[in-house]
Amino acid sequence: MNEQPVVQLKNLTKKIGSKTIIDDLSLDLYPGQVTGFLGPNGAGKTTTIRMMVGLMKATSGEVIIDGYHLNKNYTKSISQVGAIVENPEMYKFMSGYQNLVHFARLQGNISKERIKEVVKQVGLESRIHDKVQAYSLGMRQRLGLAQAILHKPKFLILDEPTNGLDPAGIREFRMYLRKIAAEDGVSVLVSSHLLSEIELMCDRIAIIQQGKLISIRSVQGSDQDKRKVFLFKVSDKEKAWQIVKDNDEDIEVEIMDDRLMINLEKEQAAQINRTFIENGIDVYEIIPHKKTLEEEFLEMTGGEQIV
Amino acid sequence: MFEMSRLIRNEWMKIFKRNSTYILIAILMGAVFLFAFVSSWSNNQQSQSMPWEEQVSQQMNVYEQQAAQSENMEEKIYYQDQVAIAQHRLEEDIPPPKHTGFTQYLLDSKSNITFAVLFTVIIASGIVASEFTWGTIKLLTIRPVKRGKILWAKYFTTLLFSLTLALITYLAAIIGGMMFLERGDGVLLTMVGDNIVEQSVWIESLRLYGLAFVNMIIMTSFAFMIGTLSRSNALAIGLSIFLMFTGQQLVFLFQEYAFVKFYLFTHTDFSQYLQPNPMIEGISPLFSVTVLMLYLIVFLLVSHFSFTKRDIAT
Ligand SMILES: Nc1ncnc2c1ncn2[C@@H]1O[C@H](COP(=O)(O)OP(=O)(O)OP(=O)(O)O)[C@@H](O)[C@H]1O
Ligand SMILES: [Mg+2]
Repeated sequence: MNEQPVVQLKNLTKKIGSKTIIDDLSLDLYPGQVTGFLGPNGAGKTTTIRMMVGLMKATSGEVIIDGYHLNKNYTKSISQVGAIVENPEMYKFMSGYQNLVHFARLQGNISKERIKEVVKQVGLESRIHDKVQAYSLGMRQRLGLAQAILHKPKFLILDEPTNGLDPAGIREFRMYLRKIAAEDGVSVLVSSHLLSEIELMCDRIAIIQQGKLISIRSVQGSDQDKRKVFLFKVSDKEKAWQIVKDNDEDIEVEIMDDRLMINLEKEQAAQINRTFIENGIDVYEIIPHKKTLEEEFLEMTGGEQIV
Repeated sequence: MFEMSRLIRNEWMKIFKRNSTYILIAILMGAVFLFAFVSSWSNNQQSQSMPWEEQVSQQMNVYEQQAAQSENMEEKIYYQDQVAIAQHRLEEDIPPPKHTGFTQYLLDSKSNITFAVLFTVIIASGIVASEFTWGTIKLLTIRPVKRGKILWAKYFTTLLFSLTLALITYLAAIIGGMMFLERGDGVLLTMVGDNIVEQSVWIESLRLYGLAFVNMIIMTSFAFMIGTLSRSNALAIGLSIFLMFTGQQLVFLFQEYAFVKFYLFTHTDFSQYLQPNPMIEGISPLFSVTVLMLYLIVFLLVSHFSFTKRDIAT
């Protein structure tokens, strides 16, 4: 991408006591792009986000938003940010609408019409005058999104935003993110543990572990891998296994339940299929098995390890 | 300026959208009415006293003795003035306010300000700390407004709230007094220069309430600081209320030591200057104001730096 990044994190480091929580993290975020921010529990996602919105000061390194340094020109740079940091805690004794009026006053000039528009967008019209006390988790999440987009920021940070949303809500939310990214060129950073969700929602994924950025790549990336695992359902799996091995010693092949798992390139798959048929083995199904983000994630971060 | 007023409106809204605020105000008004009722009731219990002329001339004798005994110039003048006023009353037949009447009651009712201070301290302790306990501090501070400004808006709102409670106390005291106490019962007199003039009960009571308000500002600011520092409601309320009730006592404990002159609570009670002999020798209203200002500046600076510099990790 040759566009200017909206957000630049440069060598961000955070130490609390002697513990390094974020370690030399650099990341650029571009307009119109939805970036997933993944990492095991305690990896440092929330801490990074806190530093991006000025709740915490970085020990070293800098955050630049829309061309302004967060430390030197806080109000200018933060005016382009909308955020949910962890749970969207609101004033429970006030209505959703009063909460939005409160945040609107903090943002500066936001009209009543704009508040109405946002309430409609997040689908809270019927309950907006109820006290937040009486809201469900999903409704709070929607209100959280509403306060984040009130001022039409160029950069949206959402820490676990789908937590508590119903399937329809998640779908709407995803469509909404895609829409503001595509139409308004908003740059979005979403942290979540729902990897399938992230996969559907994001253009790009950044993975953090123990405070270090360990991978950034686009979501389509894994599709272009040439090698894949193919699952063959055949009439005689032992014989088929022998044929594969006879054909080429080095091919990885395994019997799993009633299927044969073979690691192949695309062209080879067609060829093996022909060989099976020629040897009198019936082939019922061939499924190319794409690695899910979940599998990749677990591979990369080494499973359930929490720091 | 517009921004500041928007922020203050926000803070005001957050105080007055809570039911607990109305409960506090109701309790405050209840306490003031109770005070009025008890004043009238205990007055009725007292037996008929002697005629006022006798009382005043007795009092005048006491003042004359004190004027003769006092070595301090200020004190001497004070007692001489009192003697002159008493004489004037007898000559011109102007009775003083009765112990059982509205005038004396309204002047005494300024002690109700203690309740207002108590309740303001609760609000002042929570106005910053609650944002942390509620977790709303995050959404509050990630805005294009400097953290310092948010803090100042909170401080002004707290002062505004304390002024409101003080006014409510005063108005409730007047209403309570009108309901329960006898009116039109004598006249306050005071010295202005060399002349003895009539003093309106309204002005005199406002003056007493005003002096009590100084104490209110200091306690409120103290609670505000502790709340900002500790980010904990309970600690701030507890500490402030504890000091409110023990702080003044400690003045007498400390009076032998030199540092008592710089001790906060030596100065918070301004009504001590209405008579000669303040609590501690060698302090003056000007000195007290200076010390209080210094304390106030320290409280506010500490709050400011704690709020603007520390990480928010809740
Ligand atoms: N105030 C603090 N003092 C000390 N350590 C802290 C503090 N806040 C966070 N940490 C540590 O920093 C690390 C990163 O925490 P962070 O909340 O950023 O993780 P996360 O990636 O958001 O995790 P999760 O997926 O559970 O939300 C953790 O090891 C945590 O224990
Ligand atoms: Mg987190």
